[in-house]
Amino acid sequence: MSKDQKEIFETIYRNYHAMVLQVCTGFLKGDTIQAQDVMQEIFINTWNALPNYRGDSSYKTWLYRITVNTCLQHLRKKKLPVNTEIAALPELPSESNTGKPYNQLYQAIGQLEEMDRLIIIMVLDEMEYSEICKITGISEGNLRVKIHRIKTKLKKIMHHE
Amino acid sequence: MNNELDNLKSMWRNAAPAEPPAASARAIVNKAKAKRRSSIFFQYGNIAVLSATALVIYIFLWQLYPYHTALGKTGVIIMIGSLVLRIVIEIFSIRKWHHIQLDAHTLQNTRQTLDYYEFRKFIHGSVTYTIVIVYTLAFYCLLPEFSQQVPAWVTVLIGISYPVGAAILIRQIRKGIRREMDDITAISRLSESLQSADDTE
Repeated sequence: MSKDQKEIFETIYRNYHAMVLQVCTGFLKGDTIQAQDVMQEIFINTWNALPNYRGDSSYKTWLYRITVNTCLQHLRKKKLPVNTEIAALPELPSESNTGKPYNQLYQAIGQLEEMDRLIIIMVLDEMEYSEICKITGISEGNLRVKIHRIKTKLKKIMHHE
Repeated sequence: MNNELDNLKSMWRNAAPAEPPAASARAIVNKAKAKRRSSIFFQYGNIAVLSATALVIYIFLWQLYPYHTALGKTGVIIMIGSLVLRIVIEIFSIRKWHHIQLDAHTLQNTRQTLDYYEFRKFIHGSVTYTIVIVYTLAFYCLLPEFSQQVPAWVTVLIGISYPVGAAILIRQIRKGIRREMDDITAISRLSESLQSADDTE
């Protein structure tokens, strides 16, 4: 690995570690300890994949692909239960209990199916639909339908419907 | 709904972690290098063990204490042949694993992973069963000539203990296949959900 590639990696890590950590936290229902572990796994994979980076997408998009794939891989490795339908929102930590209103958001996202979780996280992260398509491989039409459904599900969950 | 989404986006922005990462970039690089080394050691370690076994069988049963009957020689050839086949399959499996690109888009990565798991299911299922059967056949080909060199009770003991060992091995194989079937089901479901917009509700 050349010095240049080390510098590139350090720049990617410095610029995007917070973004990756937040994606992991959202994906893992607010579990920050597990999220730190998965983030490390993602950057280990990033380092190993760096020689294959061809520059046909931005570093952010490229890193997001590794992030999404590693999160999904993590679920398989840990054999965590996969949501197949909307469950009633269990005992959400209240704002007064935690002092963190976004915990409720993380918990609500956690009620979605694994891929839906990642898609809505990208939407919340203000990613362009075209970028989400490049990351997931879903066509734009399909993605729009999915996002609409995910928003409806999330609304139901947030309002305990 | 858009207003609601804007609220969620704002909540998401406020939730961005402010604390520095737990590990430095250099520490991550060191971990990555160590992981790569251990992964290579694990993958090629298996091949090394199988190759050493084949070599030991060849040295002992072909060079040092060769079998003289056609049945015995056939047994040795089949035994070594089945191990060589297992080694070739192992190499092919590693190549397939390296084909999975973590920086590919999710749909492509899911297809590659599914392809790898399907292959593993095939080699850990049908191929491994066939190899166990062929290996057993080879073992019993060796037994008549072998039994002339050792007391009868040793032959009886080997004859009885081998099926027990094989049964335990088959049980382990079945367990492994069940685990991999669960993985295949989960990946297939994900792949289908990515390709279809009609997967929910």
